[in-house]
Amino acid sequence: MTLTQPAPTTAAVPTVPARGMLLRQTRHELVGLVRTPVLLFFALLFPLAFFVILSSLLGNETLDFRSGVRLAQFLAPAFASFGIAMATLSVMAIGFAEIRFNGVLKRLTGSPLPRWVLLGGRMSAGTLLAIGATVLLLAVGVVLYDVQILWERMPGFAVTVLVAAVSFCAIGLAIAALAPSFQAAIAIANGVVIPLAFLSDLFVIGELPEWLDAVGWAFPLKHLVNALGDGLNPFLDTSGFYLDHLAAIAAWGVAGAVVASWAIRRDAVRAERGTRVRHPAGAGGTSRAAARQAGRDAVPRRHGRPAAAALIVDQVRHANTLHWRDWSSPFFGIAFPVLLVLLFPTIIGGADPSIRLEVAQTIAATMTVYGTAVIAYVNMPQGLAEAREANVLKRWAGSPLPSWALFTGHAVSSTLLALLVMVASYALAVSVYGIVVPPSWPSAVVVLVVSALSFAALGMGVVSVVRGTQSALAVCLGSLITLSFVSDIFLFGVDFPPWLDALAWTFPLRHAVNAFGDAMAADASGVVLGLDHLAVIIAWGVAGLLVVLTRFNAEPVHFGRRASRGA
Amino acid sequence: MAVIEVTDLHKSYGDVRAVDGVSWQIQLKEVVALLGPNGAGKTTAVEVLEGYRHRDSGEVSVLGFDPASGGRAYRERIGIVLQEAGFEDQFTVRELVRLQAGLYPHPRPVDEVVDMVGLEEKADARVKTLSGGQRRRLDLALGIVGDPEVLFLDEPTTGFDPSARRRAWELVDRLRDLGTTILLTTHYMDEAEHLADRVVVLNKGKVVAEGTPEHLAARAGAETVVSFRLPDDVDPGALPRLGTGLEMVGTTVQLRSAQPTADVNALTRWALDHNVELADLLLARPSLEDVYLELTDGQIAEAPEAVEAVDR
Repeated sequence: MTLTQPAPTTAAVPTVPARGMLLRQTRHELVGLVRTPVLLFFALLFPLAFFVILSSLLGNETLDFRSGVRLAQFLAPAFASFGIAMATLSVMAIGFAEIRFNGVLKRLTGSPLPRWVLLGGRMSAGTLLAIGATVLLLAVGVVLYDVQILWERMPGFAVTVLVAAVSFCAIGLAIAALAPSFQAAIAIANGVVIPLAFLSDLFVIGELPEWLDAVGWAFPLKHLVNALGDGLNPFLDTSGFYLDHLAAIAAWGVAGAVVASWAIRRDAVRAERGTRVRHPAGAGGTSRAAARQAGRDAVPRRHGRPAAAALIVDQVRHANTLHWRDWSSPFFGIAFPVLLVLLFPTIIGGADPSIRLEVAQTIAATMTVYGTAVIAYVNMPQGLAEAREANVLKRWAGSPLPSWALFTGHAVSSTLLALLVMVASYALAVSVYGIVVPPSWPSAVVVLVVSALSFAALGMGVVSVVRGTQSALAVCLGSLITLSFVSDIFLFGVDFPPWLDALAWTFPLRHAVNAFGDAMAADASGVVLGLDHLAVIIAWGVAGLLVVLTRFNAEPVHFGRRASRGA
Repeated sequence: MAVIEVTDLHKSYGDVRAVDGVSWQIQLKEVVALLGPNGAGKTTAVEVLEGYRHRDSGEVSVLGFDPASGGRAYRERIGIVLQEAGFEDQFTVRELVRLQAGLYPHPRPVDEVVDMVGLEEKADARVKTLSGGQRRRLDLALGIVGDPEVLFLDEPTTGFDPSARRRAWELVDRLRDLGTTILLTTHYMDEAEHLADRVVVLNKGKVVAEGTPEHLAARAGAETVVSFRLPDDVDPGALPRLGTGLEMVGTTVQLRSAQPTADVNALTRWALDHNVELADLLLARPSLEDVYLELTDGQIAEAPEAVEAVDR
C-alpha cells in the first residue's frame, strides 16, 4: 500500500498565540462559572445576603455601634472580603478538584494547552468573579445603606482586591491539588473559609478573646478584611495602601502556589508510575467485621421475601455508611455545629462566665436543630439527588425494593444522626461550660425526632421537584441559611420588623428551634412538647411527603429527551 | 412456553416514534439479542419490558406479568443491567452486592456472585477504585444476585477489554445453562452470534428481521466475499469481469461470488499474468454483520470475519 503523507514538520507550523489562548480559556471558565449556579450563589449572593440581612437588622439606631459610624460602612468591606474568598479560594478549590477527579484535567494535559494557560484562565475567571462580588456589594451598600466610597483610596483598594484574589486562587489550587477526593476538596475549602471568617472579624460583633485574635492574624483573610475596612474607614487618614497586610496576603499566595505546583507535579509523577490519582481509601484491607460477614456471604441470605423491618434496617445502615464515608456530611452536619457550640459562648461571652453559660445553654439547642436541618434537609436529600443523577435510584427502581423502604430508611438514618448531634452538643456544652440538662429532656428528644422526620420529608420533596443535583443543593442550602437568620439560630434577641417576624413563624425551622429550646431550657421540667410548634412542623412534613409521593421520579432527567437520542 | 410476549408495541416521545409496532416472543431459557443502530428503539423497548416506561399501546407480558403494573412481585423475579448506571462510590463491591441481595426472596450467595463476575480480588475494595470494566462487572453482579428467571442486559459488554468480554460471555452461557431467560441488546455482531439463540434486528422502531444467526446470515445469499488491494498504478477497470462485479470499499476492492473457486482462480491468474501483487487477498463468508448492515442502511462498519486468508 502506498500512502502519500505530508512530510512531518517541526518548524513553520504557526502556534496559537498564547495571549489569545489565555483570553479564550478565561472566557471558557467564566461561561462555566455562569452555568454553575451554586458557585455563583456562594460567591455573589451568599455574602450579599449576609450583608443585606445584617445591615437591615443591625443598621438601625437602636444598636449604637462603634461610636456612631454607619454600620454598613464596616460591613460592606467585610462581606466583600468574604465574597472575594468564596469567589477565589472556594471556587478554585472546588472547580479544579472537579476537573482533577473527573478526567478533564487528564484530557487537557494531553492537549497542546499549556498548563499556565489553564491555571491562568481559571485564576483570571476567579479574579473577575471576585471583582464582580466586590463591586456588587459596594454598589448595594452605596444605594441602600449610604456607604461612602473614598475615591482617593480606591487605587490601594483595587490593588488589595487583586493581590488577595490571586493569592486566594493559589491557596484554593493547593487545596484542590492536595485533596484525596472531590468531596474532600469541597469539605476542606468550606471548612477553611467559614471558620476563618469567624476568626477574621467577619461574623463576630464585639471583641474576640486575645488568643483567637492572634490566631486570626496568622491567616490572610483577616488582613484582607482590615485592609479593605481601613480603606473605607472615613475616620482614618491613610493612603489606602497597607503594605503589611498586602505582604501577609501575598506570602500566603506564594506559599499556596509553591504547594500547588509541588502537588500537581506529584500527580504527574504518580500518573507516570501508573498509580491512580484516586488512591483506594480502605481498599484491599479487609476489616475484621468484613471477614466475619464474608463467611455469611458464602450462603444465601434468606428464603422468602424479606420482612419490611429487614429492608428498612438495611437502608438505614446503607444511608448511614454513605453519610460517614462522605467528607462533607459529617463536617457540615455534625462537626461544624458542634464547633460553634464550643466557640460561640467564648466569642460572645468573653470573660464573663454568666454570659458564657447563658449563651452556651441557648447555642447547644440552636446548633442541635441547625445540625439536624443540615443533615435531614440538605445532606441526605443531596445524597439522594446524586444517586439519582448516577442512575443508582433507577437501578433500585428496577429491584424489588419498595420506594417507601428507601425513603423511610433515609429519613430514619437522618434522625439517628440528629440524635447524635444532640448528644455531642450537650456533652460538650455540659463539660466545657457546665450547662444544665433539664429533666424534660425526653420531650426534647420527641421534638427532635419529629423535626428530623419532617425536615427529611421536606428535603426529599425539594429533590422531587428540583431535578438538577446542583440546583437542589442550592435550593435546600439557600433556604436553610436564609431561614436560619430569622429563626433564632444565627441571630437571637433581635427585634424583627413585624412582617418578617410573622413570615419567619410560618416556616418550620423557627418552631423547631423554639420547641426544642423550650424543652431543653435550664428551668424546664415535666412534659414540654409545645403542641402548637409541633403542629406546624408536622404540617410541613406532611406537605413534603405529599410532594414526594406525587412527584418523585427515580430517573435523572426527563426521559423524553434521553429517548429521542437513546437507542 | 413464551416467557416474554410483545404484541404490536408502540411508544412515542413527542413526534419521535421510538418503538413503532414491534412484536416478538421469547421462550423459556432462550437467549435473544436485540440488534440495531443507535436510536433504533432497543433501549426503549427493553425499558418497557423492565417496567420503567409505560407503553402507548400494544400488549406486553413477562412471566405472566404486565411489567407496567407488576410491581414488587414482578421485580423479585427479574434482573436488570442498565446501559449506564453509576454506583455510590463510597461502598465496597461486597457491601453493594450484599445490600442488593437483601431485597430478593431467594438471592444467590454474595460470594458466589462476586466470583461469577470475576471480582473476588476486588470484593472489599471501594467502588471508586474499580476500572471501567470492573464497574460494569459489578453492574452485572447486581443484576444476577437475585437469581432472576428473566435477565435484561442492555449492552452488557460495552467498554470491556477482549478477555473481560470472553468472561462475560462465559457468564451469560452459564446463566443460560442454569435456565435463565435472557434478553440482551448489543452493537456487537460477534456477541450476538456467540450468545444468542435468536436475533431480532430493530431499525427506526420496527423489527426488520428475526431468526437464528445462521438463518439470518443465510439471507444474505450463499455468496462469498472476495477482497484485496491493488497497487496504486493499476486501474481496477483493467480487471476481468468476476462474480457480481467489483466494488470499492475504501482502498479495498470487493466482490461477491457464487463460484469462489472459479473466480479466485481467474483473478489470481490475471494477477500473475500482469505481475500484479494482490495485497491482503481475503475470502470471507457473509456474516450476520453483512445482513445487519444491509438491513440498517450500513450505519456501522467493521471488518468481515475472515474464514480463510491467502497471504500474498
